[in-house]
Amino acid sequence: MITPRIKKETERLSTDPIVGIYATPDETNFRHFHVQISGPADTPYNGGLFKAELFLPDEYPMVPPKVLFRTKIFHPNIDKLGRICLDILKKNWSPALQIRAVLVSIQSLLSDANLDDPLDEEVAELFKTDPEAAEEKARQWTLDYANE
Amino acid sequence: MESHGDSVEEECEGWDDEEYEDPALENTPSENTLAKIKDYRIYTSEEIMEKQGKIIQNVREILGVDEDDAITALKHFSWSVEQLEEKWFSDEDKTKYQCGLVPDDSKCPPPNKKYADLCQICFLPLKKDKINSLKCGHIFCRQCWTDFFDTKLLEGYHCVMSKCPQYGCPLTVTHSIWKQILTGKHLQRYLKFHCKSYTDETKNINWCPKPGCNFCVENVSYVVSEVECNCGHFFCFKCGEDSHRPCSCELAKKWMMKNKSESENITWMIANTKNCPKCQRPIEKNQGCNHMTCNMCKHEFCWMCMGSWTEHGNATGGYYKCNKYEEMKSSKNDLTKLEEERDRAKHELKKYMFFFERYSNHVKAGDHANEMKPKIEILIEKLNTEKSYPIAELHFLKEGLDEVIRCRKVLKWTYAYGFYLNDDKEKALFENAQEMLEKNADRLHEYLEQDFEPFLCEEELDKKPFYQYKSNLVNCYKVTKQFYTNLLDGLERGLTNNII
Ligand SMILES: [Zn+2]
Ligand SMILES: [Zn+2]
Ligand SMILES: [Zn+2]
Ligand SMILES: [Zn+2]
Repeated sequence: MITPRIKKETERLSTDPIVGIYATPDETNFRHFHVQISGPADTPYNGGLFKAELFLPDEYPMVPPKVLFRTKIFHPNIDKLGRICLDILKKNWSPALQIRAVLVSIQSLLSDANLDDPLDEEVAELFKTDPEAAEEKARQWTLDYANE
Repeated sequence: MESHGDSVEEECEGWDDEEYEDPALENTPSENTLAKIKDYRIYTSEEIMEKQGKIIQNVREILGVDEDDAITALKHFSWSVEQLEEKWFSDEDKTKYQCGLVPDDSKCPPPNKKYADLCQICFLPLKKDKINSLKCGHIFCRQCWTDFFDTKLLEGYHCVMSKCPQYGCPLTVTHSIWKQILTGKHLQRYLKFHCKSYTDETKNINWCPKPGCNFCVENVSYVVSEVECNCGHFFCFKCGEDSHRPCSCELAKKWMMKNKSESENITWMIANTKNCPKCQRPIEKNQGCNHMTCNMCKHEFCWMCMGSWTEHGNATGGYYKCNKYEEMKSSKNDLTKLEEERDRAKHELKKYMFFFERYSNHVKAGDHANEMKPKIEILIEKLNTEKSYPIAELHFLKEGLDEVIRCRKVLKWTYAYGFYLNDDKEKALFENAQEMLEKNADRLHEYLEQDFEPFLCEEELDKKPFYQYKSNLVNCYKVTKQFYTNLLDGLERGLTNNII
């Protein structure tokens, strides 16, 4: 049974969408969202459309949603399996936060990587030592994988 | 509270009657050991909660705050009243904010009017069942509070530090909200964590590690390391492991690690003995030559390549030169070094096995002594009911067995101690003390394992043999106890300070 909270959140996502983010619930599972995030301007991800899946566990909102990138992305806080390192998805989660807040945070993570808390050490290392090469690689990956 | 040093004499009537003459032992209980052992207090969980309540009350009076604020502030300062007081009186506003006692409207304002009557978590209209909200004005329905707490309770006792469920709100959830929302088992769980936040943050209070035991121990001056809980469990206050006197926590840990890794080492040795390729009997190489002959089947083979010796010839570079051996020799620089290493390891292992065998011997003997406990109880019962010995005259059996158990525990650890002890003149003193205790503990153990049937025999009306037996046992007990004290005192005062 869909909870009033999930129902309201889902409605608001379609009536009042977030700029650059498309989140649609799965036809068969209201806890499962197909997400597309467009790469923010002024970043190497600009022009790309990144697919992700968002899943609300049974305990939601007491526990955070699970989010996984489906499109390959060269980013220090997102690993090869698409897992995301984001504080509000872990220890800083609050049940008063919503799907919107999570998606907006992921979008801003694309513009503002957190190099101090990397998920993929190698990627972070390249961003630190040779930002230009790293950005070039991120741009290339965007062209190769996020360009449909 | 009882400690083993003094309890026996008081409980056992006839213990120090003149009938057991042993003047040398009468006046020499070690003051030192007794003083050290008595330096702790045992509390039930109710008593420790009471103690915690007094601290809260004290802080309420000092700071002039209510119970909730006192608890929140104490938790923030790990229950250190001194630290809390110091910070509070040097900068009250800042300290209040750090503790999570005041909301932050700029960072996390209360909900605007449009949503003010909706729960911020489930979005349902708030029913009128009143919930004392936090000072920040963030409101949630009873169900959401319950779910929130249930989730937090899974995180262990640190959940008592939980902040307001609103994202970014610095307010700590108050003790009274927890108590107001939770019921039944969950409330009990919270109250346990509330108490644990005090005991676990307080360095000189530890819970007895024995599963199911609800006592905790306060180490008053933090000098002693070994404590005996009211449940009978002896444990090291510092590391929480089973008592390991006379070893330090570090040494005991080192020894346990060694036992673990040695069992792997023994596997390594086994891996380095090869089986005869024909009859599969294990063969250990104990000479330099690679030409091996199996003792069992007389099969001749090459140690290096395990091939039959008869096949060794020009093809392998000559009878006494296995190619593989030469290869290894050149690749590993020097095979003899490997052999030397093996010899050294073997010697080291032999030494270890010596100590380990004796260590585990006392472990086993201690287990046996523990298993004897119910038998001794039955024996006492029988002697009392069938032979009408007064119960008070039979305590010595139980006390004797307890002493054996204590001695076994210490004796096993003396072998860990001895393993790491350097060779020097003090080693001889230690070994002598160890030997004396071992000898007497063995004797005492033997007394308790003897056949009691003659004393229970119906025809036996003469009680003299039994009293003679008791006299012997009690004397042996006293001597053993003295050696026990001597050994521990000697070692802990630094008789031998030469641990590697
Ligand atoms: Zn609610
Ligand atoms: Zn709040
Ligand atoms: Zn206990
Ligand atoms: Zn210890």
